[in-house]
Amino acid sequence: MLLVPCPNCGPRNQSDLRLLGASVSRPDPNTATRAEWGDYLYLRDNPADWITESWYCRSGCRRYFSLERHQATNEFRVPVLPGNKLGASTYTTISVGSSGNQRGANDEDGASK
Amino acid sequence: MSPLDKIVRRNDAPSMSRLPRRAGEVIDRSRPIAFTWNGKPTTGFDGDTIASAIAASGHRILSRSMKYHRPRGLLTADYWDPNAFVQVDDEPNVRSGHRLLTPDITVGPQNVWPSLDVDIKAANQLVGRFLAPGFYYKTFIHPQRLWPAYEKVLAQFAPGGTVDLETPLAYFDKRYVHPDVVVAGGGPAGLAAATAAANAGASVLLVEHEHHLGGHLRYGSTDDQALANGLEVAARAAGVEILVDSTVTGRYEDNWLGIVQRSHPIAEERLIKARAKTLVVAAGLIERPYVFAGNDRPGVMLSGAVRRLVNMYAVKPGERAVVFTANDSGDHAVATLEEAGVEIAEVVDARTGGNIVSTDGTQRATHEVELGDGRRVEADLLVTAVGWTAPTSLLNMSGDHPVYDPASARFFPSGTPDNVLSTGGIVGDGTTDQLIEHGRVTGELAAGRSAAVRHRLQATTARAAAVDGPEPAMPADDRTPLDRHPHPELFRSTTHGIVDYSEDVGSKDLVSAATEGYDSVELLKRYTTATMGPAQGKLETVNTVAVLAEARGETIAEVGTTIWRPPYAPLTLGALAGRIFEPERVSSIHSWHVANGAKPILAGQWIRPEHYGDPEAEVRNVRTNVGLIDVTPLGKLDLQGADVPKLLNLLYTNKWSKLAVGSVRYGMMCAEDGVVLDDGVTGRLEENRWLMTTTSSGAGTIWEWAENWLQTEHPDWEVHVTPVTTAYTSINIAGPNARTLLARLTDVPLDGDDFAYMQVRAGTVAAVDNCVMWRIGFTGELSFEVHVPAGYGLHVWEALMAEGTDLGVAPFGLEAQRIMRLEKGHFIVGQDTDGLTKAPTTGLHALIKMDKDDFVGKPELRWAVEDADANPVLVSVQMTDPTVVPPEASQIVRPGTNEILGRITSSRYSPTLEKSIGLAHVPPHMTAAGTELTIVLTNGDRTTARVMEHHAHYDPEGARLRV
Repeated sequence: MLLVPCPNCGPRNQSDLRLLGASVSRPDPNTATRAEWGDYLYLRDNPADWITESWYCRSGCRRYFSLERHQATNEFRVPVLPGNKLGASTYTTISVGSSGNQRGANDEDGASK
Repeated sequence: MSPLDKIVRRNDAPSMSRLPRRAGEVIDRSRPIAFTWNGKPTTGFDGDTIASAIAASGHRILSRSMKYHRPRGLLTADYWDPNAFVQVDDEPNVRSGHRLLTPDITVGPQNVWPSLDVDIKAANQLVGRFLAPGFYYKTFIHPQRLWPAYEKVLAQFAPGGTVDLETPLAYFDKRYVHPDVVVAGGGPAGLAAATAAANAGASVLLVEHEHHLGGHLRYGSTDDQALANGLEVAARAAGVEILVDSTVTGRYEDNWLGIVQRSHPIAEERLIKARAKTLVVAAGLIERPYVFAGNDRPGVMLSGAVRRLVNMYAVKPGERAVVFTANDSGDHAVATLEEAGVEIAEVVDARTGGNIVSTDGTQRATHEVELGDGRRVEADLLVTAVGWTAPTSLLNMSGDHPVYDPASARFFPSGTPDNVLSTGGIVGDGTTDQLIEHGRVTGELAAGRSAAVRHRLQATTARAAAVDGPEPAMPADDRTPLDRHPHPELFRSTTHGIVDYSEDVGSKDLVSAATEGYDSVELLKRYTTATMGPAQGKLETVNTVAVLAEARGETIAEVGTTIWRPPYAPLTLGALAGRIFEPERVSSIHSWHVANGAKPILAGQWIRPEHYGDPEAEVRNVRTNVGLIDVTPLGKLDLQGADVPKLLNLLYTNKWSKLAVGSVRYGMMCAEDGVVLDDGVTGRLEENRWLMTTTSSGAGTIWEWAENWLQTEHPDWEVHVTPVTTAYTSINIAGPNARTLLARLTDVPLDGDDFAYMQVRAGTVAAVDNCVMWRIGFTGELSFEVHVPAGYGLHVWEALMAEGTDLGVAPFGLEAQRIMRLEKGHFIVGQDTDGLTKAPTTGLHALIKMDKDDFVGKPELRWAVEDADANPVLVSVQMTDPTVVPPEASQIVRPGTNEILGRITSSRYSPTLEKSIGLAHVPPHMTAAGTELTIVLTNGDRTTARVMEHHAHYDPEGARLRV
């Protein structure tokens, strides 16, 4: 069970939150083509790399927020709160040590923001 | 006379017995315990395992093997003993080498029929060639029509004990802990690590698989046992929390650990979920059996088994022994046996080239051991000490890939993440002092790393109290590694024998499977089931790999090993389930429903009245007089703020900006894919205060849905959403007399001009302030829905019942409401819609406002209208035969064929119309009024129905609502 760094509640069990999947931006509903809307609904990249994904802290602060997670190492970093007043956090997100594969741990962007 | 003559003559005569008092014994001779073994009264002592008590009473055979039903005796005399599975009362598959003896239990052998002594299925041995690997796959495939017959016969041969279906549910529990350090294994290194970590300021949980701390010291010399006691005292003094008879079953992401506690005083088993900052794996080593002909004959034991039996349980394991030794443990076994008065016939030392080839004797007893030099030595006990398996499961689960070292003849860890450390025998060899020192340093390192992680976790919790000081540095691992002692590689002798005792798989089977092409270790494992039995590879993995390596002419390192997966040791489904925490929700009127004969129905988490005896009578009463229904589970959201209309315009398909204060409106919500998500009525109570209702099942979902849109897409909107579902008790008053009844309890003007259909009022009801009333009608009758502050719900309900006696007031339940809504043709989201139903299917095109700038699912709905031919349509139907009510989900087919065209989504007998009515999904070309539908009933019969012009069967103009 991952330890997910909620920007408000701190590291919490994954089961305290709900993963909504990779963050996507919503096309203009008045001009989107069927293909664009289909991409928005169903198609996500699945790279062995950092992705931005959306979480909902359902058992804690009940905030929706985005996190970056490395899909190969399950490391988290830098929450970006979508426009809320709690403020973009200034801390570095970490995991307790994560899995054996630490690829990406020394990525420069992984340092504190 | 030969020393074994008496054994030979009497076959399975008692050849084990209780020894005089041993210094380190764990049994309490002042507390005898009576139990039944194999139908006979037997006695052991407090502290005995079931197996040690049976052995002490002179019995050598505990059970028969799974496939060949060969008699088997103790092999390891601990948790992993593959030959010691017994039935204890109604509990099958009990590990008697581990389970402690308790008074008055009835213990019986397994895999025996009709008895332990005479077993018909032992004939399996004679037809052993049919039971080769893949036997089931090869033999019972064809012809397929015979499978039911095969299954019956095979079920008779299914291994294991007997499950009693009448066994009452036991109590299980769960616990959550967040220690700094979890130490898996309470041997000398684990105890030293736990103590050192605790002394360095860490909170420490030590988990020991066995009943006693001390690991191998516990069955060692008197000095060893004294040392174990001292280590335990130190750990307790340091404040380490110690769990014995408990196992760390798995290690998951971020050091999430599962621990099964079998020693809980109340719970049968308790599953502990631990988030450790550092995990220290001190799992020790597990002794490996040797593969040779006759290695599963009773009387063949591992060195650890005889040392446990003698030193812990004071059981004499035999009369005359051959000891085959390659290490200290074998040498200690020789000394231990001598102390126990067992005659040592021969010590065969593998380090100087000695070997053993086979045992001879009966199926039930060993009589002779054939040595590598050809000599045959008379003995009833053969002890082997041929090396170790490193139980690296928890390390594998941490990402480690252990590497085989031929010089030491075992696997060693190769690298784990920073938060997993290992110590003790699993990482190297040494004197007890060296193991303890390595453990101590490991414990200090674990505490240091935990402190750094703890600081970091606290610092990343925004609302936590300020953390003192800078983050401590993550200490580097500068431990001096333990040595690796040389050890001869001993897996299989020159003969073939059993590799997996619990699955009855021999080395010959493995070789033939490899010859058939199953020569990758993972394939071999699945094909032969070697390592897949209750021992889960703890005893047999390395031998399996070694036999395969030999067959392939490669090294063990080249063959590789199977993957160790959780759980390390089995745990019951009860432990995984734990206590049942599913809440049950009831309204404030629940006690009244119970007292008045309501038949309960579970709707989501809510317990609701389905009816109070006669739902059809309830319908008639509502249509004629007035009825009350408790609709508290209806989801309710209080919406406040200037931008609420924007939110409603976004979530609903219809328009909300111009809804006047004091009015309510029905709306339908879709998801972004255009599928109907929820529906309900929302009212404007004040300029900037609204009350939204959702379906009962959608209450939580729609709250989070609204929050999602507000937080992520429109954080600038001024809207505050508060769930108030349980803050109100909701009562619907329905029927021609509804107004008269409510008027007796409120000053709010209720006449049609003052309080019209689809309006909302706030006021006092039965002297309760702050009630919200709206005039809507799911049932099709004049009705007022009253939302009462929850604490007064019962009061208002009882007042309505009391005031309405002369008006014919009576309660009605969910079933009557469902009949009446169907008479009115109202659909229910999730019942008459499914995961593919887009909004136009419901027929409510007037509620889909494509001229709005935006709303959820807008493009999909536009396309759904364009693609109308592709989507089904919801229609009302009436069955031709009013006595036939097709079950919901009955298929609508093309006449004369089985081609599915649609389905009945709701159906009921209408007591009002005296007809069988329903809602159905049909293709667009079948929606015209009068279209005849063919419906397949459950029994295969067909019936017909007719599509209706309106959704509403009853009062389609809605005149009764507007009186």
